[in-house]
Parts: sequence; structure tokens; C-alpha cells
Amino acid sequence: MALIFITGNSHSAAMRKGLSLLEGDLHQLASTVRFEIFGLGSDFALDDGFFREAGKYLLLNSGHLHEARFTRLPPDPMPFACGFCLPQWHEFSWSASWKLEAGGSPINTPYAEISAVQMRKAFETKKRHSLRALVYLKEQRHNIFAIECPYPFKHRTDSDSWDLPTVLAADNFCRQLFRSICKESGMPLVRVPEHCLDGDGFMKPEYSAGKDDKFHGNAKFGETMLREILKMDCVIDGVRE
Amino acid sequence: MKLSEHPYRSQPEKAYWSKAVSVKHPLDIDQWYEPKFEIGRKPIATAGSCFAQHIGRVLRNSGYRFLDVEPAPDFLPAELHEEFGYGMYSARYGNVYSSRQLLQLIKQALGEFSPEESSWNLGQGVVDPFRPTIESEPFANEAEMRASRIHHLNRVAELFSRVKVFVFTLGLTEVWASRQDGAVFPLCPGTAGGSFDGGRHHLLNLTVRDVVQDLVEFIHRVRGINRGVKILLTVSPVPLVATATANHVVVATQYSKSVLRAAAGELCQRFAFCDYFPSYEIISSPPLRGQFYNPDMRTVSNFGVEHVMRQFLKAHPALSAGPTAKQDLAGATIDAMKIHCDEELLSGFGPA
Repeated sequence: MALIFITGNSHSAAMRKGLSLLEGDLHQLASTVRFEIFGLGSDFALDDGFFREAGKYLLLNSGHLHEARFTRLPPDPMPFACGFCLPQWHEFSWSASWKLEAGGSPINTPYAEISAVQMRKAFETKKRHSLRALVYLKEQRHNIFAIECPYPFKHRTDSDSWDLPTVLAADNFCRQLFRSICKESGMPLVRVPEHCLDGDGFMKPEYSAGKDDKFHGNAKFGETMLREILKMDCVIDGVRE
Repeated sequence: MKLSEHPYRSQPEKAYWSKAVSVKHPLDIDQWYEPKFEIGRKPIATAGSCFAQHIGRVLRNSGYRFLDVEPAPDFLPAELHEEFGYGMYSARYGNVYSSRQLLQLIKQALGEFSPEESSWNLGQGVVDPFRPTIESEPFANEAEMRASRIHHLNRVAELFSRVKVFVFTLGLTEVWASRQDGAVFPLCPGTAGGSFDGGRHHLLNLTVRDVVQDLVEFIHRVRGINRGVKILLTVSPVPLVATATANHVVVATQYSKSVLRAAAGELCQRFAFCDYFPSYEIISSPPLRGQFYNPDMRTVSNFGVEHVMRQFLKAHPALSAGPTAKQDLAGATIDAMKIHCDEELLSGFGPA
């Protein structure tokens, strides 16, 4: 039986919730695949040095074991494949959206014009630990893949002054950046499927964790992403075994 | 025979070399500076050649109302701030080495001047010729660079309208300029972007008259929008990295510093709102025996920075209730090697 282990930031919670919706289908695959899903904590935790490199593994530093039930990655027993919900960029892109407000209302703030280079370096610097974790495990020849976070939800803009195109453009900038980083390092990436998006390119509301949660997907989103994971080349070999 | 009274009789000890210098350990020489005005809680801003970064850092850490009109965006990690020109000065203008550059800056900020040579290609991107190293990599395209510049100049205009004490450190007299419209560049075209063309670019070596005139024009403009602003001038004690004249670099340095020092003196004599802090003398004058320079005899050691800023804080005591001046200076010392000096780029262009 192929064990697919999923961990990472707070978006891994949606995967865990989605697992129950997938149970029927998994039942058919029960003899070949099993998911284990445990989050490591929010990105605030993962932006810090949350691990140390130890041979073929990453050892989690104490203080970064939020809800983790393991102390090393990949955990024991060795999974067939490991998926990481990393990194979460919404908070970052939200701030960075100032850059894309050229001529917009915040032009008189000190933050109006930020170059693409600044955004890229800020992203790479802030996310260097989580990106390094992925790359290191890849270098150790583990079967690793990354999982995208949801696109922005429209209701997220309700309490903020940013216009929708700005938010989307900022998110797109960071998303493309993460995709290119994955591509450069040969990291398979589970993308959010197009059918989850509305005509404007935002997440459809039916995937939202709720009005009070502006960032996370719900069980349906988690289920969708798990189905995408099952289609991954790096996973499908295990499912077929 | 009784000698008549004369002005020297009433001069204080510090006026006499034998009392103020000869009998003192170099580090005990004091009373370098008597301020014309207090800084107090007035909004203060800095610009100038790279040595000015030390002054700004100490002011910032000493409880002064240090203006920073272009702070780093909150998502940019602190370790990247300097790489992108944040926190170096009161706005992201980078090093303003010359009086001509300062005058040009305020003209641009006030919409009086728009240079024809307004972008330099570098690799696949473009840089701003008037602050070519403000970003660690080129802008993606001209539109992005222009948007950044427009924002920057708007912030500079605000800075000049708010500042009450403007500290400017004069650094160089050798300036590269456009033959087309007189625009000046902080670095020679071709060294950090663009390309040098003798038909379009030429070297100016400013005279005392030039520097005074530039600064008078600057003062006229800044006080035109901000009547009460006071000016505190300093001269950088850091010698030239390289000269483009036919002179030896030491001779060129001496010319440059002498011109700048003379111009600063003339302005301070002329204007009551203009003062001079002698960082140049405190570091480089003969009684100090060159002890504040690193072995390259050009860059100023941490110890030297600490010493000069201690003299500054004696005259303008730290206002912060928290960190003491000593702690502030320690901070300046730790950071002394971190200042961003794009003039250093020139050191890589000499003969092999």
C-alpha cells in the first residue's frame, strides 16, 4: 500500500477535512493508497528555521511541532510520496499588492511603487526555509511534491481597500514565482484546478472555509486537491502498484 | 611696556594650537564644534555621500525625529532593506555625492527639470541613471523604473517640505554630466548601466564658486517651500576611490575636499541658518595622524566613525530616554562596514 503523506502550513487542514469526502473513492483504492495528513503550523512558524538537515532527513526543531505528530521529515514509516502545502503567499502578496496600485489610491503612501525584483527577493527571503526544506528533500531523492494554496477569495477584499484586479495580480505574481521555483528545482507541483475559479480568476465561494476565514479552503477544496494529487505522475505509480 | 588689547587676547583655549592640540592626546582634543542652532525635536533628514549614512544612523538611534519618507514596505525582510536603498537616508535617493546632484534632485522633485537621458540599459533590464544602484538588480522595464522614480520624487518633495534640519554631506567635486542638458549622474555612465559616450557625457570638476552657487540655488528652492529649514553641512573625510582627472588620486582628493570645505565655510558665513559640522577635520586633520583610517588609508574605521559621532552627540546630545549615546555609537560601529558606497564600483575599473 502506498502511503501519501501530506504536511506543511495551515492549508494542509483543508486536505485533512477533504479526506472524509474522498473516502468513498479511496475505499476503492484502499488496497493501494492511504493518506496521512498532519500540519506543521502556520507560515509564521515556517518562515523561521523550523528544521535542521540531518542526512536523508529533516529534523524538526522543537517549538515548530505545532500539531506535528512526527519529529522528522519524511516521517517513519517512510511514505511513498510526501506533499507539502508550502509556502503560503497570500499575506505576502496582500502587502505586495501596493506595487500594483500604480496610479491607484495608495500612490501617496510610502509603499506605492515596489519593483518586481523587490517582491521576488522578499518572497525568496521570507520563504527560504520552507523552500529549502522542499529542495533538500528533493536532493535526498525523496518523492516530494508541492501543493498550491487557494487563489484569493473575493470576500477577502470586503474589509480591505484593494481592488480586485490588484489583489489578483499580486497573487498571480507570487504564484508564478513559486511555480517557476518549483520548475527550476524539478519539483512536481499540484496546482489549483481551473474549475475552482470564477470568471474573474478568484476562488469560487463554495471552496471557502467561511466568511470569517479569508484565506483557507474548506473540505471541498481539500477533496479537490487530493483528487489532483492522485493524478500526479509521482503518486500514480504508487497507486498502481 | 604694556601691549595693547587685540582680538587674540580674548580668544579661548581652543583657538590656540599649543593649548588645544599640542598638549593633548589626539583623542582628547575637544570643542570641535559649537552648533549655531539646536536640533532638538525638529524633523531632521540626511543626504549626501556615503559617510552621511553614519550620521543618519546615529541620529535615528539617538531619539531624533529622523524623517524617513520612503520606509521599506512591511513585507520586505529587514536584511534586504539596504540592498534596496531603504533606511540609508531619509528617502531612497542613494548617495548624493555632489552639490550639483543635490540641486538636480530638488529640481526634479519640484518638477522643474526632467533629464533627457532618463534610463540606462543594464543586462535585460533598466536602471535609473540618477540612482543606478538603488536596487540590487535592474528594473524589469522602463515603465517600472519610471513608476518607481515618480513615487520617489514625490516623496522627496514631501521630505523637503517637512524637514526642519537638513544634513548634507558633501563628498565629491568630480561629476559626470550630460552635454545635452547638464544632467548629472552619481556614477559615470557605463559603470553601473548605460554606456559612456564622449560626445554626450563629460566630466565636470566643480569649483568653489560652482558648489556655492549650487547650494545657494538649492537653499533658495528648499526655503521657498519650507521657510524655516536649517542646513547642516559636513564634508566627507573619505578620499576619492578614483579620479578621472590627470592628477594623482591624492592630489585630486585634496582639491575636491578643499573646494567642498571652502564652499561649506562660505555658505555658513553667509547664512545664519547654515552650519558646518567638522567630521572631515575630526577624521583627517594632521593632529589625528590618520589613525581613523583603515589600512587602505581611505575608508574610515569603526573607531573613527564612533569618535566623530561622539563629537556630534556632545554638541547635540541624544534625545532618547532608552538607549544611551554610547549604545547608539556601538550600533553605528557594528554597522560601520555596512554602508552602501556605490562609488566603490570604480575601484574595479583600473588597469590590471
